[in-house]
Amino acid sequence: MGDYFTWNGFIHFIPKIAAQLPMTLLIVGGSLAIGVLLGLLLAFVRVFSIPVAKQIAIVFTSFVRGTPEIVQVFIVYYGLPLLVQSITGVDIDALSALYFVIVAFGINTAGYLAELFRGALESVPRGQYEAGEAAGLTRGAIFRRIVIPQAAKFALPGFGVNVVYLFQSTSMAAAVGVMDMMGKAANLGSATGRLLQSYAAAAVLFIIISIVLQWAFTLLDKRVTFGR
Amino acid sequence: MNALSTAKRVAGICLAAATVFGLTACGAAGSASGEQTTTVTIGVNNAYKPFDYLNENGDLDGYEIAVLKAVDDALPDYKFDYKPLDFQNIIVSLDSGKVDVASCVFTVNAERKQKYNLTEPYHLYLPAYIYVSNNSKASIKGIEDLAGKKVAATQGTDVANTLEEFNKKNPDKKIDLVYANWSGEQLATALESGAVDATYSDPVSFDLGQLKGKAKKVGEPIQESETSFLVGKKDTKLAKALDEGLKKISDDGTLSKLSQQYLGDDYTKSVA
Repeated sequence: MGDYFTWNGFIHFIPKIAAQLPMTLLIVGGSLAIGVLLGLLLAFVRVFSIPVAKQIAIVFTSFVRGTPEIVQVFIVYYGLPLLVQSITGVDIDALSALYFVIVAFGINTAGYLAELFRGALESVPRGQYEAGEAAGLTRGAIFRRIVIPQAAKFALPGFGVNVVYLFQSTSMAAAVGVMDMMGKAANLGSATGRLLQSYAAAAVLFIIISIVLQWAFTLLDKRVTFGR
Repeated sequence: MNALSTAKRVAGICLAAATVFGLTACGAAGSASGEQTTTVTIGVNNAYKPFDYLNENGDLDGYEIAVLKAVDDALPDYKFDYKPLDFQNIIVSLDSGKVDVASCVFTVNAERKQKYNLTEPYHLYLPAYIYVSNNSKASIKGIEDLAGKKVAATQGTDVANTLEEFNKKNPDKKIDLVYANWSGEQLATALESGAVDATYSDPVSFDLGQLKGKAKKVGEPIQESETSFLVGKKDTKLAKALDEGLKKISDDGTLSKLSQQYLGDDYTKSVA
C-alpha cells in the first residue's frame, strides 16, 4: 500500500488540487449562466406553445437529456469548430478548451433546467394569471411580479440539485485538457505515479464543496418558503 | 431593486463578458498567422514519462518536448505552441485540425506513413519488450509464447497493432489482448494478481514507472521502432521545415545530447 498511497502525500496533494478550484467554479458559473438563460427560453417556448420553436425545443431537450455528457463535450469540442468553419470560415480551433467546455455544459444544463422551469411555471395556479389581468397588469408585468416569483419557489429545490450535479460533472472537462481540479488530480497522479492518492484527495475536496453547496441551497430554500 | 432586475443585470454582464472573450480570442487567433512567424500548434502527451509529460508544477517536460524546443530554436520562422492532451485525444485532434503536429513517441509504420507526414530523421529508436511479473512462473520468451495469455495493451499503440497482426495470422494461437487506459499502478497490480499475464513497454519508461521492481523484461525485443512526429498529410511545407530543423539538431549533436540527458543513453541511432 505504501507504494500507492501515503497519508502524508495525500494531505500534501489537497492544497495543490484545491488551487484549481477557481477554474472549476468558472466552468460551473459559465455553464449555469448559459444554462439558466437558455433553459428559461426553452421553458417559455413550451409553456406558450409557440408553433415551430416548441418542436425544436422538445427535440433538443430529449437529445441533451438522452446522451452521455462526455459525448456532448466531445461533440462540442471537435464538432463546433468544424461547424463554425463550414458556415463562416472562421477557425476557432485556437480557442482554449475552456470555452468549448462551458458551451457544452451550458447546453446540457439548459436541457435539464428547461424541464424544471417548465414544471415550475405550470405549477403556478391559473388563477394568478387571471388575477393579474383583472388588476390591469401587462403580460410582462404579470410574469415579472406575480408568476416568476412563485415559480421560482417551486424550481429552487430542483435547481439546487442541478447545480450540485453540474459541479460534479465538470470533472469531465479534464478529458479535453482543461486544468480544473480533476485535471490537476490526474496530472499530479501521473507525474508522481500515485493516481489513487491524488484522486482520493480530489474526492475529499469535491465532497466538502458539494456539502457546502447543498447546505447553501437548503438555507436559501428555507428563506424563500417562509411561512409554508 | 427586486430579484428580476438583478437577474437581468447579471445576465447582461455575462453576455457582455462572453462577447468580450469571444472578440479578444478571435483577435488573438487572427494575429497569430499572417505575421512573420507562423505559429504551429503541437499536441503532446501529458503523462508519458520521460518523453512527454506534465510535471508536478503543470509544466511540460520530457525528451520529445526538449527536441521540439530545440527544433523551434533552429527554425526562426516558426513558433511552437504546445497543447498537452490525453493519448486518445492526440490523434483525433490531429485529424480534426485542432493541432498541426502530434508528438507522443509515435512509431513509424505503414499505416501512419499513408495517413500522415512523418518527420525525418527519426529522433528516437526504442526497443519494445515483453514484461511479466517478477513472480511469474510462465516461461515467455517471445510473441509466440503469448498465445492464449492475457496481455495488457493500450488502444492505438504500435505494439498492440503488431500483436493484432499476429492474431490475424495465427487464429488458432490468439493472444488475449486486454485493452484499457492502463496506468502504472493498474499494470503493477494486474500483473501481481495475475489478472493479466504480461504487458509490453520500453526499457526507458519502464525504469521510471510503477512497474520497476515488480516486473521484469523477458526475451528479445519484440520490435525496434523508429519514432517520428506526425504532421497532417496536406501540411508538406511544415513537414519539410520540421525535417530541416531535425536534421540541423541531429548534425550538430544536440539530438544525441538531449537523449543522454533525458533518457540516460543515446537512443537516436538504430541498433538493429
